Order: sequence, then C-alpha cells, then structure tokens
Amino acid sequence: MSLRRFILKRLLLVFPILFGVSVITFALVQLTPGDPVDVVVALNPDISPAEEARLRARYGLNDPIWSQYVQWLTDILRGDFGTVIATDRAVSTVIVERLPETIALGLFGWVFAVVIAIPTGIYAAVRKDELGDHVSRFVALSGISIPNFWLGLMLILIGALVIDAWPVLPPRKPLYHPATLWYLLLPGITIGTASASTLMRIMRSSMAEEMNKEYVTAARAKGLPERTVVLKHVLRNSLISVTTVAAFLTASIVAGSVVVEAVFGWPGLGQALVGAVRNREIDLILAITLFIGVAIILANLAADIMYAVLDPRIRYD
Amino acid sequence: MDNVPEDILPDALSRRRLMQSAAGIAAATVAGCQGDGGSGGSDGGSGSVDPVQDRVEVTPSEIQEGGTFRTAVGANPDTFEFAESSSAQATIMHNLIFEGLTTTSASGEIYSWLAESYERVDVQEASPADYTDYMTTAPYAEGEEGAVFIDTDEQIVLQDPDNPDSPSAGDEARILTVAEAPDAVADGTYGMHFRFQLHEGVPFHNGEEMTADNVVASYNRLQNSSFSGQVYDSLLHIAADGDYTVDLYVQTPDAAAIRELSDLPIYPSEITDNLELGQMDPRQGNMPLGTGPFQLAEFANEDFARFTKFEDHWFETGMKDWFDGPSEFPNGPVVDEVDISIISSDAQRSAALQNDEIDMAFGLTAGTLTNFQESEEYRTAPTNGAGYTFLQFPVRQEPWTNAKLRRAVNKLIPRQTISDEIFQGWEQPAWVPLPPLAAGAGSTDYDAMVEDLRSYNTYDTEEATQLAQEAVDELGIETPIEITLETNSDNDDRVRTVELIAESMNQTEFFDVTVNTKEFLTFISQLLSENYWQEGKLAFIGLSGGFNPHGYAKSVHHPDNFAQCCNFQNIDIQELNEQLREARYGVDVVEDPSLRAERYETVWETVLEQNANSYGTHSTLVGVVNDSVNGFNTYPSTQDIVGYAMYNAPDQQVTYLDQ
Repeated sequence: MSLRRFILKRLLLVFPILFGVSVITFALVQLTPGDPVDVVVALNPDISPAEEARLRARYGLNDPIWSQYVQWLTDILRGDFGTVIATDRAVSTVIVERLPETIALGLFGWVFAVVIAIPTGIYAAVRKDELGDHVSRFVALSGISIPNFWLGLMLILIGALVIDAWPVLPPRKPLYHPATLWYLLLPGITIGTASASTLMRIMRSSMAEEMNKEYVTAARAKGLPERTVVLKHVLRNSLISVTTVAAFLTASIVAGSVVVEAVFGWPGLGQALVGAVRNREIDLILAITLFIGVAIILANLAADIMYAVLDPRIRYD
Repeated sequence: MDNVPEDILPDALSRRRLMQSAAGIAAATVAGCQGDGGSGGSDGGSGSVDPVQDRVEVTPSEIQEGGTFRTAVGANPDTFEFAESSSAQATIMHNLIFEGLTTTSASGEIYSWLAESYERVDVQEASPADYTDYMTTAPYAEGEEGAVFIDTDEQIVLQDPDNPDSPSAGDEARILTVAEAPDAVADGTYGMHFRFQLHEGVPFHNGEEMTADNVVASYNRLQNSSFSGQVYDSLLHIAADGDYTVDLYVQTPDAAAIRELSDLPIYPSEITDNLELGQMDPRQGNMPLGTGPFQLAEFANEDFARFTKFEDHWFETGMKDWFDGPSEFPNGPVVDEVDISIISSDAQRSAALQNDEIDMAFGLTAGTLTNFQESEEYRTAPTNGAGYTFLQFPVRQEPWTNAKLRRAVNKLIPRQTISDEIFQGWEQPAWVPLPPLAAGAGSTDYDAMVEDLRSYNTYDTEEATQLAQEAVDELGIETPIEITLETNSDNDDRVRTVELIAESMNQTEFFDVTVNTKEFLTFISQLLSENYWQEGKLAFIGLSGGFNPHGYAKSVHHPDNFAQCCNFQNIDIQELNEQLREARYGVDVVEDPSLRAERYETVWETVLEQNANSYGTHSTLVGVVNDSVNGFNTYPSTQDIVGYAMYNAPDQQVTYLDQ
C-alpha cells in the first residue's frame, strides 16, 4: 500500500472512531445521574414543577435518548454545539474562549517534555549503566509514576509558598504577554513531566540500541570523534521512534490538561470540562470530550504518518 | 443550609434564607417603631447578641481610603441576573451591586435602607379561601416523572385550598394570578399591608433616579423567574403611590413576611424596560445595574470579576435616624476596588492567601482554619453561621417508623467529639435545632431553652441502648438492623462525621451501618427524587437557615418541602405542621413577638421528641484575612461575606487596607 493510500485510509477511519467516541460519551453522560435541570432544581428547590417541565421541554430532555442523540449529532454537523444552560451561552463560544489557553499549556508541556527528554535521554544512553543512567532512570520512573494532581500541588506548595517565586492564581494577562510564560511554568512542568519521563526512556533505549549497531562501530573505526558519532549518526536514527512517540504523547498532554487545569485553575478546556461535569452541562461535556477525542485521534494519525515518512522500511497493510 | 461553600445546594438555599432574613423587622416591632424599621427590632436575629465572634472595630480617624480588596470564590457566578441566580457565589457579587429597601445587621436586625422608612399599615386575618372570588382557573398537567403541576405561564400568587387533593392531568385548578391580585387588594382582601417611603435622589449606576415605579418593576421582574417561588409564597401585590411611596401587600398575616420581601434588589428602568429576564449579564452583552456601592467593572468568565466603587452612591449616615455611630464614620466603603477571583479549589484559595495574591479566603477546611489561626500573619474572623448538618431518617420505612429507634440513634451521635475532633471547634454541637443566630424570634430565652432541651442530644450509649431495645421489642424485629448511611463525598469533614456516627452506631449490637458517599449533585438529585423515601436509607447533609427560625424546622419536616429541599423522606407530622403554622402565621403572632417565640419553643421540643431529623452541628463561618486588612468581620451567611465586610452602617462595619 502506498503512503498516500495509507494516509487516506487512516483519515477515513477517523470518522467512525469519532462516531464511536460520540456514542460512548453520549451514553456515559446519559448514564450519569442528573441533568442540567436537576442541577437547576437542586440549586433552587423553590422552582415550580411547571418551570421545571418547561425547561426540560426547551432543552429536549424529555425526548427519547436516541432522539436526543440524533438531534445533537445533527446540530453538531450544522456547527451548532448546543448551549450551556446555566449561563445560556453557546458551547462553541466557550470552546473558542478556552481553546487558546489549553493549546498554550499543552504546547508548553510538549516543549518542556522534548527539551528535557532529548538531552537527558542521550546522556543516559551514552552513560549507560553508569550512575548518571541510574539516576535518570529513577527520575524518569518517578516522573511517570507521580500523579499529575499531586505533582501540581507540590509545585504550588514549593514554588509559591516555599520559594515564593510563583503565583498561585492563573494570569490575567493575555496569552501573548511575556509574563504569561512565568505563569505557564508550573502547570507546564506538571503536564509535561510524565511525557518527558516517557520520552526520556524511549530516547535512551533508542540511542542505546543504535549505538550497538554495526554502522556505529564502523564510524568509530573510521576514527570519527565520539561526539560526531553520537550527535550526527546515532541521534538522527534514534529520533525516528522518539518523534513518533512524541506525537503520541501529545494526546496524553491533551488528556492530562483536564487534571492539571483543575489543579492550577488554568482557564482552559480541561477546567471547563470539570465544571461541565459538575453541573451536568451535557452539551459542553460532549463538545469538549469530542474535541479531546479529535485531538487524540489527530495526534495518533500524525504519529503514524510521521513514522511512515521517517522510516521508509515500514510497510502498511 | 450549610454555609460550607463546597456545597452547591446548601449555598443556594442559604441564599434564599438570607434574602428572607435580610428584609425587615417583625411586623409587631414595626408597629412599635411607627415607620422606621431600623431601631432595634428583629424577626429572628438575636437582637442584643452579636454573632460575630471577636469582632474588631475601627477608629474612623485611622481609616485609610483606597486600594483593592482581593478575595476568591469557589464557583463562577451563574448569572448576574439576581432573579435567575442560584448560587451563593453569585450572590456575593450581586450584593456589591444591588440594594434593597432594607438592610440587615449581622445579628439579624433589619434597618430601612433604600426606603427612608416603612410601616405596617395593617394586618388582618386572610386565608387562601378568602381569595376564591378573584380566582381564575388553569389545567393540571403531568410531568415526566409523574408529578402533577398547574400548567400556566401566568405567575401564580395563590392556589385555592379546595383544589383537588390528588389532582390528575386535565383537572382544573383555581388560582389567583398577578392579574387578579390587585382586585382583591382593592376590595380589602389581603393579610398585611406595608408602606415604604423611598429616599429621594438615589441614583442608579446609570444616573437614573430611583422611584417607586422602579421598585414595582423590579419586583415584577421576579415573575416566573427561578426566584419567584421564594417571593410569591408571600407577596400578594405591590404598587406605586406617587414617585416615592410603595405599597406592598402580603397574602396572609405572616410574622416573617417583611423579612422575606423587603430586601429584593432594585433595578433602573434601563434594565426592567429593555432586558428580558436572564439578560442582565455581561456574558449576554449587558452589564448589571443597581444602586449599590460598587459597579461591575470587568468580568472574565470563570476567571475573575472586578468591581469599582460607585462614586455617586447615595448613602450618608446622616440620612438615617437609626445611625448612632460617630459623625466621622464613612458614608460607604473605603476601598476603591473589590477583586474576586474564581478558584474552585479550597487548597488553592488558601495558598493564594498565603502567597499574598488575595487578602481574604473563606470556605476552608477546619484544619486549614486552625493553621491560619495559629499564624501571627493572619486573622481568622469567625461568626456563628446559619448552617447546620442533619441526619434524616426514613420515617415511613420499618423499623424507622418507631420514634424510639430514631431517638436511640440520636443519642449515639457524638456531637461534642465531632465538634472537637473533626471540626476542631469551628462548628458547634447542635444541642437544639435552632442555632444561636436565630435565637431572637425562635426562643424566649435561648440559654434556658438549650439547658432544658440539651439532654435530648447528649451522647449517651446507655440510654440509646435502652431506647433501641424498647423499639426492637415493640417492633419484634431482629438485630442488628442493617442500614445505609449516605452523604456527599466532596466534603471531607462531613464524610468523617458520617463515618464517626456509623462507627458509634456499629458499636452497639443494634445496628450494622454501611457508609455510602456520592458526589454532591448525584446525591442531591437522588434526595430530591420522589422515591428516595422508599429506599430506607439514612441521609446526612448540610443545610442553612437564616435569622428566621421557621426554616430550621420547616425545610426538613414540612410536607410542602417533600422532594424539594429538604424533606427527602416524606416526613409529615401533623402536630408539628400545625405548630409551625401557628408560630408564624396569624394576627396574634404578628402582633406579639413573645407569643411567637413561645410557640417556636414548642416547635423545637416536638422536633426533638419526634426526631425525624437529628441535628448534628451548627456552623461557624470564617473569613481569614492577611495583616494588611483592617476592620474585617464576617457576616453569618456566605452570601454577604464580602459586601458586609466592605460596609454595613448598622454595625458600623467597614474594612480598609494598609496601603
């Protein structure tokens, strides 16, 4: 199969996957006890049964579930993502407001992961089985094992309260303001740590594997300096797997934003999703979940394509 | 309702009770005051007792003007449209912008505010049946869950008591709507009549002068709003008489009516004439407008709200006869700005306070409060709160139909231990259902009442065992009795409380208790369903009242509150219902506050004797401030924690900042 056909096939697969995501998400939301009107009633128990009935009718909550799903899907295809009932705002407006914040955080986390992982991975591979390698392994395993929320809380504790150098509250400055970088640091580190750790181990393994190959021995035999062997030959080949893994990690960064944004009060999609779940805002939950699903699928697709482009030996069926 | 801000439902009801509480003095006292409601009357506030513990006072000459008071709330405001709002967090913001005809001190006394004065013109016997001649009809319909309701878009003021007991869809209901209410009033059919004289020259934020028409339009804006149920269970009709006089009519003689109805926000005609209900919100492109001391300057959804001082605010201490403070006391807030961040995490709010990013935090856990209390850099400002926790029994399910069994469990609740160990002293054992906050109208001598009734609620395993044994013998059942005790999972202190109660019950041979926790909204959705009472579970939850004693019994007992907040178990005790009615409604209790207080004391004894609900603890609300904040005191309800601190003339309360 040609690369073009492979990509086309993968693109076509996106649609049934998204359909599946939407069905599962919709079903899960329906299985959750309560709906937005329940929340309104819970918050305001003096609301009359007539008003409650009117609200349910207005938002179609009395319709059969399949009918609600079809209506929702139809609306989505028309570009209408629904309404946040509590604030009577369009879901699309909320997403447009929040998306840049999540992208900025994710991008920062991704860059942090790459910047930390590549040199550390190289170092660990070069110093294989030495103290530096052991330390890096310990750090990497810790980074993978520590839950995001705990790391975030610790960073707040240390960064804001012990060192007294970072703010606890999210910035009120525009994303493009230079000061935002400072605000991004702690949540960015939190969201990027697990990815950095994973990437570092992949980098280390990949490098170590490459360094055992014959062409490396040949290069060394030719008298090339070790620095040139490592950085020019080994690194380039090692980056194939690292690059694809990095793409995969984009997905985990997107998903991780839900927890990290909640911990840091970062005003992105993740925090909006947490609020939507709390308030049973069905349309918002569905839209953000779908959005995250799309991001993950596209990241995986990008990883596959990159893998195919970077390593022509790969065959696709 | 619970004042603990983690709880959304408690906050919401707390808001309602606050509005009830923040609205005027008892009618009888009004009569005594001849029109100026402010001089010391009370409809439930303890009157002479200041619930604010360790109150700090300021010396007017030392007050510094300017600066930004920074704080944080736990949730995004759902809307700035007061009538459609359902959250305490939103009301904190609303209370900076909007004002009512009256205001309330921290001890529950009510003072005229936008109204220069008010008087109760008359009170007379009137019941729903007296309105029959003015009523119209509307059909009943059936909702999705089988609930039958009156299907009309009109605002219902009253229902005929002779409507079918068990209506079916299609039956006709006889109702009085806002359209017919003026006819009844014109014919002299009403329960109470209040007249408010407005201050002249009060400007709205848009420069418009407040008149009687604004008051009427603002009250009318509540029709069919989310808030309407809380107003139209009492309000009959409101009308302007000239530019500065408002007549307000109440359906029945109701000792709590003025408290319920006199502090609703007043808007300019730019709002009432032009904006649909729900549209007064910056997210809809419209800024909220009121007469309040602050204006909303900037709002970033889910992020923050910034308020700036309204430089043309109308108030002067010299305008009010009741103001007895020093002449140099400021005429309004002295800070220039109030900045409220929206931060859901308690830990993050606490950290922000420690990191000097905010000046005041509240809604913190007991352990955190204790830490702040022990620090010299912060001041914890506690006040007796309106919140309480309670355990509700499935009184219609065997074996819990037996009152002795319920009383046995009540004796197994280690209230003092809960207060000391879990809440580290920040909450107080509920020795009686009524908290000190509402002692004024709800008791003749609160301390004596506590002394008399305390034995009902003291921890006593021996007595509990005896009661349980008697109940088991009477019922002829086997032990241990298996039971599930439920609460909301997102309140750590509460979960620990429930676990302690379960442990205490399990230490006897009579009970085998399983604790089940659920996320708050999931839990509350189930509690509010119409079949929860059939599941036979014990429910533990928090609730908040206010200065009006009525809510502390009615909310959790009365059949009107079944499947609403908070009679989840379908409790219907005829004796108690009657006692509640007699304590609040009727010319006699309107005119004689001491009679009303006596009647409530009967209510509390019946509540304890029946023990359909066990009251756990009474709350303390605590605002924690850093050392740059001066003069800060905490209001007993979350909803006014910022507004009160900034300025409350009756208590000569003002907060200023070290610049």
